[in-house]
Amino acid sequence: MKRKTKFTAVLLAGIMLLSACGSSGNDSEGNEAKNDSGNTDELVVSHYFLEEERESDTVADSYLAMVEKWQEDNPDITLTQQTMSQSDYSTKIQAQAAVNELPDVFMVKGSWIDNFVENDTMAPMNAYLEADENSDKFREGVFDAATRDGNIYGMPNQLSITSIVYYNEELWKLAGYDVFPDNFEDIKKAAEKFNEQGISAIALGNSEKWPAESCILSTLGDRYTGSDWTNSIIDADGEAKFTDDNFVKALEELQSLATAGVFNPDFNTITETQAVEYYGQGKAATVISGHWGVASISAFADEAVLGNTKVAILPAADGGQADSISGGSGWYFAVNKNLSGDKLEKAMDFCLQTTGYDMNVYGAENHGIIGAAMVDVDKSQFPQLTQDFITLVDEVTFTPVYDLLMDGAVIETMNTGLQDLLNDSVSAQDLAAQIQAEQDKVQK
Amino acid sequence: MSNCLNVKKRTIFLYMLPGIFWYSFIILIPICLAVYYGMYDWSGGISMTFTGLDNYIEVLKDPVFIQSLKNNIFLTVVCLIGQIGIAFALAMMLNGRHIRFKGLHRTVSYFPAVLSAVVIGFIWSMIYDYNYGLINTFLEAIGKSELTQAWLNNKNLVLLLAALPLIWQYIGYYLIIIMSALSSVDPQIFEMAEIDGATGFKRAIHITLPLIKNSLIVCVTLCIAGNMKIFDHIYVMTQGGPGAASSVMAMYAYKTSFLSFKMGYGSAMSIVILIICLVLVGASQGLMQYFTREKEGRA
Repeated sequence: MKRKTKFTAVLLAGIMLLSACGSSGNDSEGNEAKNDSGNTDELVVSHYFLEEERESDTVADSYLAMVEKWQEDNPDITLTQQTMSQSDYSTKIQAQAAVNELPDVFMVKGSWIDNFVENDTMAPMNAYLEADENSDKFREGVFDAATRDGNIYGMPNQLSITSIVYYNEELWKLAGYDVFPDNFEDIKKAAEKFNEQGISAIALGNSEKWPAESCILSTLGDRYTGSDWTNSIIDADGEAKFTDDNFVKALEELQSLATAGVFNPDFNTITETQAVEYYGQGKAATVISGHWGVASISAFADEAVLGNTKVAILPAADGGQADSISGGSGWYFAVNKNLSGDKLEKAMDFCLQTTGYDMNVYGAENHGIIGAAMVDVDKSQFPQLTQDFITLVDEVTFTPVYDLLMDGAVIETMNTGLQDLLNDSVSAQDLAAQIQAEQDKVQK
Repeated sequence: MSNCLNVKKRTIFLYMLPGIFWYSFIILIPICLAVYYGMYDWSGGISMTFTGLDNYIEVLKDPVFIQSLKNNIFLTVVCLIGQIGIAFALAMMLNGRHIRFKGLHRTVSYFPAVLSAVVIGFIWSMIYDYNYGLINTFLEAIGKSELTQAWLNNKNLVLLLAALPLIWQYIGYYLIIIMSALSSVDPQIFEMAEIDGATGFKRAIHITLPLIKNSLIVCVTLCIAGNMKIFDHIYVMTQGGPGAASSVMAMYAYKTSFLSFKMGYGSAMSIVILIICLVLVGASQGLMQYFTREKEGRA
């Protein structure tokens, strides 16, 4: 009896000890692999383009096609791709940056560049861009968000256009409008008619908090404030404030849309994808989405709805102009600063080949994607919706997208507060004051 | 046999060493690091600025944190009543003489506790869904369609609605604990009480409750500690929304650290959460000991 008890006790204590040793052993092995910058046969790249989404995400398809091509061209290098959803990616890469365990090549958002540069985590790309023959074909300003002190730290991966109005021409005709209204009053009047029929005027899926700000407010705000104001906020020079009258008016307009019943009643509880599905099923007459909407609607919407879908931009503010939409390059591919020698060369080559001019060509020719680089392509081969989209985008100028460039804490406060604003539980002035309080902490 | 009781202190210490080592590595050292990081203005990279106790003071003044704390306390109170209250009532019922298939009842009650919080969150999100959810469909079926709403978008109800899955999930957990405590009570006491005329409710309050008080103290402690650190259910169902109406402390600390990139501030917040939890748990234990000690005095 006694020996059995002793034996069991020793066994349990031993297991506990081993489990402690075992896991710490694994960690150190993992660390060694990551810090080994001399090993040129491996490259670790981290991004959010999932293989399963290639059918419905044209940017994912273009990027992954380029990666496949690069692997064929470089068969002696083992490429490890760490992929996950965009929101998971945002969390993980921050955690990796915090402990200086970034992969060799990774994606970085425009609003994080300040942070990453401060902590010296990215290698400058200037020399490699100059050596590349296609660098001058990129649109003006796409490198700006990733440039600090003249050093370019990232390759733009996509032109994020976040505010396109996709509307069902048929449904709006029945409500009495041949094209999407050019003022907000008409939208609210039409909303009454739509609600009587049991559908919503505009589908909004704000449960993850970014659509209201990224797809609507970034453009709506610009209608009232102008781009100078937005750039001043992004630069945090203290001149523009969220409490300025213009921005408050923009918030009030957004709130009035919600209180007038323009959106579906469950707008704070469904995701953006579900909102696009509402539109695709004919439960809403409009959805305000981004460039990804073209692919989503083409993939998921009912035949009838897809046939009737037209694109437009948000109306002007009272007495203002409507010729701009929020868009810009927000996501970049960067190379880890810790790399050197041959491995650095390979990583830079990977970046330029997979997310450079060639990717833009592939995307434009196969999907009609408007990318960071300008590509001449014959539009007529694409579906009608894509053609309309390209035509629309060619005619407008871009204004900065708030959450691609503004400080993370400011955006977090704005996004959370917008849910309350749309619910009419906070006033526009109070929300503006809250956001400005966060912005004050950012002033350089 | 006598050797078992004469174990040397050194032997005891050696056997406990792996456990202590593991515990300090996983819990004590990160807490010390969090206290350290909380004293810096740190956005997650290599550069850190020393700010002393500024972060800690700011946490206590942060309106969203205060709201999150209130939400946590509300959830804890609701769950104390819901989880332990209902578990106790069920345990009393299942302990009766006339109940059959007690094992089955126990298993079925415990089943939700083994489900992952994400699964529970998704199931209940579907129940609350505006278009296809059970609640709205039921209301329309009985002709009360004017009461339908986007339930999780209701600022006043969202916390209560988020508490329902929590209660539902963990009733079985506390049921098991209370049932085992009840089974250790001598059934002759209940028979004598019945002869004296005490039945049902009176029996539960005056006889059963004092006899299982130690298990109840454990249950209350577990409930408070568990609800102070609630995260997954809220994250899946509402993400803290709408606005900050269902924000809880753990979620706010997560958001501050990883979405707003204020790691130093987030660390300070985590330490404040720890202190608040310790105070609450300690106070609740002290209160319960005090009340039960009084009764013993009288007896």
